[in-house]
Amino acid sequence: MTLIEFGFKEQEGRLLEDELAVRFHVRQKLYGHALEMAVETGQTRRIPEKIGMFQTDVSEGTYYPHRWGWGTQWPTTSNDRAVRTEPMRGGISISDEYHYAYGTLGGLVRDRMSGAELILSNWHVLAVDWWARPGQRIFQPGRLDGGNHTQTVATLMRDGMSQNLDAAVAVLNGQRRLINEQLGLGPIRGVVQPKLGLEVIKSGRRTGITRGRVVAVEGVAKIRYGYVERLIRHVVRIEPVWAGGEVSGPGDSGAIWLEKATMRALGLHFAGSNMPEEALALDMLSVLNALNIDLVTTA
Amino acid sequence: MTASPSQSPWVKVYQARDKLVEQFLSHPEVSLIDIGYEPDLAAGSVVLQIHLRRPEAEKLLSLPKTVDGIPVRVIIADYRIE
Repeated sequence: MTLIEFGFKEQEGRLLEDELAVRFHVRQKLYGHALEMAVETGQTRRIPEKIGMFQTDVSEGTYYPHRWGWGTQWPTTSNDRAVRTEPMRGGISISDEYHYAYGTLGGLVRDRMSGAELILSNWHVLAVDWWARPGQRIFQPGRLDGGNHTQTVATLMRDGMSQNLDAAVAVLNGQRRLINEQLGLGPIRGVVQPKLGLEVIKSGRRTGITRGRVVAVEGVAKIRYGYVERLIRHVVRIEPVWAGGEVSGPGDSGAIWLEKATMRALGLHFAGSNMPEEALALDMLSVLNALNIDLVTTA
Repeated sequence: MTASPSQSPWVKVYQARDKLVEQFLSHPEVSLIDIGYEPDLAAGSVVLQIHLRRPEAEKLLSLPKTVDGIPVRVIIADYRIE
């Protein structure tokens, strides 16, 4: 929020001079999923349609003192998942170039055809829009963590939505290395099929390192993406190990769930519920086959 | 039956899940159908789980107690992308 004032309501670029409103000026006006995510993550709050007897209005505007120099820097953060990271690793902030959001960089994968090194995350983190095209830029950190075009690390390559999998890959542009390591956990050591009762662990941008247990496999879910509902297959469900524990939150999408005992990957996190506290992941083997990629692992 | 989805007894479980999916997933109150287990049942037994967005929805749906002999459990949960 940069300014709150009394003024005329604005509609389609015109001021309605017979309608006084409480006008809120913000650095960036958010819509749809980006707004929902910013509200979820506590970065913003919804502005009510009316305050007392007055309508409200939201405009974009950033204001600086008139002095020589470039504008203020985005606030820095002490969260090591939310900052520019080199070399990059799984568990850190990432986003596409258009949305004021962040998700999680899952890990390093390799294209089975070309051998190219790619970033693995979700469709709704790397592509987000149905009209997204290959070549769309990927920022690290994500835009909601202050990322911008100078932090472009990859470009969107392909996704698995046509195969009912919320997964996508982006090809690294050579600006920064990506290594096989999950922040705070170490390297991924293989891939394993999810089994009921397996104890699992993940490293995600929002909730960091959390533990859980696989309580269901091979699910078919209906998930809302904005106003569109999509069928998602090969869903693995994860509950906290102990009652009252947290497994995931908004911004963890793209994180890789690992078998705790062996550090082998079994799922790509993409959704969750707070009541009850549960995480949903995509079966990793299905993701790898759908996208024709291999996870880079260390023996 | 073990808890690994790659083994053949799971074919019957998948078929039962698919029947449930075909019959109920299109209902707006159904958010997820999956295969889980219950600690109370014999070791290795699995159940089909149908997730409803609201508790009231259970009254709107005539859910079976079993499909092909596999128990059906109801869970109240809605899921969002994160």
